[in-house]
Amino acid sequence: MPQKLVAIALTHKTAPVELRELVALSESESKALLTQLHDAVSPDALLITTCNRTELYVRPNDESITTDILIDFLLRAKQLPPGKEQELRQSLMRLTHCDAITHLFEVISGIDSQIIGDQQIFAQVKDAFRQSEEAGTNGGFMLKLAHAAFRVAKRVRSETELGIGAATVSYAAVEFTRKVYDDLRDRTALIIGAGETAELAAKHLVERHIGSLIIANRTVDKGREMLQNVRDGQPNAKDDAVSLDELAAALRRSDIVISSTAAPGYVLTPELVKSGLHKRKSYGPMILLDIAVPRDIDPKIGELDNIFLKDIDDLRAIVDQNLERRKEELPKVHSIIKEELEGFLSLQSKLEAGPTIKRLREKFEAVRREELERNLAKLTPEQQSLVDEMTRRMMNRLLHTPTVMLKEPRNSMDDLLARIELINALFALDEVSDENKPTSDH
Amino acid sequence: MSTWVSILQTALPFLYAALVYIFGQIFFRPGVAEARVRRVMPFAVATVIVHATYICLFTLHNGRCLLGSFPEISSLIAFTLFSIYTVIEVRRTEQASGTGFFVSLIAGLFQIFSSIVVTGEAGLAGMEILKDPVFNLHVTAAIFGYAAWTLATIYGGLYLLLYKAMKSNKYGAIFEHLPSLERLEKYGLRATGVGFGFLTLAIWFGWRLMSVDPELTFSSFLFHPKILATLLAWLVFGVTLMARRVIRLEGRKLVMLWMSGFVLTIISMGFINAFGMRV
Repeated sequence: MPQKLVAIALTHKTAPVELRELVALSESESKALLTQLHDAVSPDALLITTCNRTELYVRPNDESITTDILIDFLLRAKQLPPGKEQELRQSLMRLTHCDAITHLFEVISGIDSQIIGDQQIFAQVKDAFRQSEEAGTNGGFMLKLAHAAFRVAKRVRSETELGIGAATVSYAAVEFTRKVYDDLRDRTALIIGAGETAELAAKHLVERHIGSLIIANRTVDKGREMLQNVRDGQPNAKDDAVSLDELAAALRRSDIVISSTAAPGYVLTPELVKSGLHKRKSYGPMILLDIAVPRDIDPKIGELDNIFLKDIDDLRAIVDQNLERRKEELPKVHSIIKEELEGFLSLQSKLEAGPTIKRLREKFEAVRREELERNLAKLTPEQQSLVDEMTRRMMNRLLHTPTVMLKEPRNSMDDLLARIELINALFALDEVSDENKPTSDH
Repeated sequence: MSTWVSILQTALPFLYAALVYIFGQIFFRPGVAEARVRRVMPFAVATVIVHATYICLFTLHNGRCLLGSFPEISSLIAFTLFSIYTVIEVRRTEQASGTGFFVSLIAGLFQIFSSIVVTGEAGLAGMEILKDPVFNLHVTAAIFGYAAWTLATIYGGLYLLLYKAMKSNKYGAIFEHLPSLERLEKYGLRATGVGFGFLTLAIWFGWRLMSVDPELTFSSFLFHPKILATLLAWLVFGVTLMARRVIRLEGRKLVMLWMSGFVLTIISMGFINAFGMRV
């Protein structure tokens, strides 16, 4: 008898980080839990564990396995501080079949993420399916579920704008530079300041293959140290560390400027930038990103031609507009999820009902044969053929409605299971299969 | 042959309409445009080939190029515009700007107009000049030149739209769907270069054409309003190319420079045509 998918989930929506981190499993812990589940509960299990969620999906072998039992398994996998178990139990979501599948589709599509449309989650769920395969818990059901989930993610990516645009300020800065310059490989970036934020910005630029970096800082040595850090100890020949007094000269060589100092006043003034611009190699566009609070760059500079000055609020505006646009895509995503859920359930209904339909037909065919054989001797060959054909047609017509009823897609697994059970009981199909089962003597 | 000319004349608007639809799908739908532009490439090239075949067959059939009337020239404009776009951009699909939608839309409108209106020889009796090869080369080169500048103006217009959106913190569809400013500028410059080359040829053929007239002097050629306007536009585009190379002028000012060349061309041609000044 097919069983329902059951799932438990602890996510950023249901629990704070203090609770989530208690059940965040390492790769080895995940494997151990999946192996335990494989041995004790089911060959169909999936465990998703990221910084924002720990979710366990299982399709048990028998109906006695409930979400509470899965919670026991999960909590046993970690050493919990005293008193936290109850809190965790209360924070865990319990989902059954359709709700569980819908939730998985929402997770993989990115709409359940902390940042709507997060692209990273797809790779994380894919990785979870890989782990499930390695642990031997990707039985037939989980494999089909994986295919359906990947299809949802692919459709959401190609049919909606959910993943479009930057969703973090640092990525918005990178996206902005990409709208000005195609390729950063022959560009020079000037980083003003050598603090943590400046270093992070420089790292982002290095990841985008920036040609050369100039670090301008009050202490040149600290700038050099930062250069070593962001370039992994191998700065380019054109990389440089300069003092703040040399800013005008550094500006002449730069296409992108990112400023993040703790200076109380403006570090870059219109006069300084104008003098730098006059002696630049080219008169092309220049990007100035001011991520300092209080601001480092005089906003009047933004009025100059070919200068794109953006402060932290401007970059946040990019993020806000993108997130707003992502939210507008939610109805489309929900509709894709609904379609794929129906498709998956329809396929499952056919697969799950298949054995029952087969047994039902076998039973009817056996009765028909028995009755035919009992009466065949009384009939002429023509009559035998006629009766054989007539009874077969009758049987097919009688079985048509229950077959269609079983194959129809169901919105709830309970409904399908109830129908299978009903057919089994009405026609004593379990007895048929028991009769057909080979005995140990054979 | 006339059957084939008619078939191609009817088919071309549909081909351009299909291109507008496909490029529109690429431009307005999310995702990376480059891979999808690559898939459209064979169809774009096929359209250029079909259009070239139409022009060749028309020329062979009528003994002259598509230069007899504005509707005929419209087809040539559509062809030149889209073929130059294909050569400039789609040739290197990994750097495609995804702006094929705008180009195919404009080319398509010209072709639809031409296909609807062009009927054949009506009103062309006595225009023997249309059979002069130098005249055909002169006008064809000029149309290629102006088409390339139209293309440069499309890139320039999109550049200015994106520039304005970025300056004023408007991060909507324009910001999302247009390629980088650098790429728009690069392709715009390339189109300007192509236009400059073709117009240089057009001026040369024009001079050859007029030099057969014994009464024509260099100064009367040079100071004819139409020639003067053409030379002025040619000069502006030449200055644009020089400014990029010599003083490394880039960005909005450079774009404004080549767009002013196009505006100058349109205004002067409009003025000359309005007052009936013909060479």
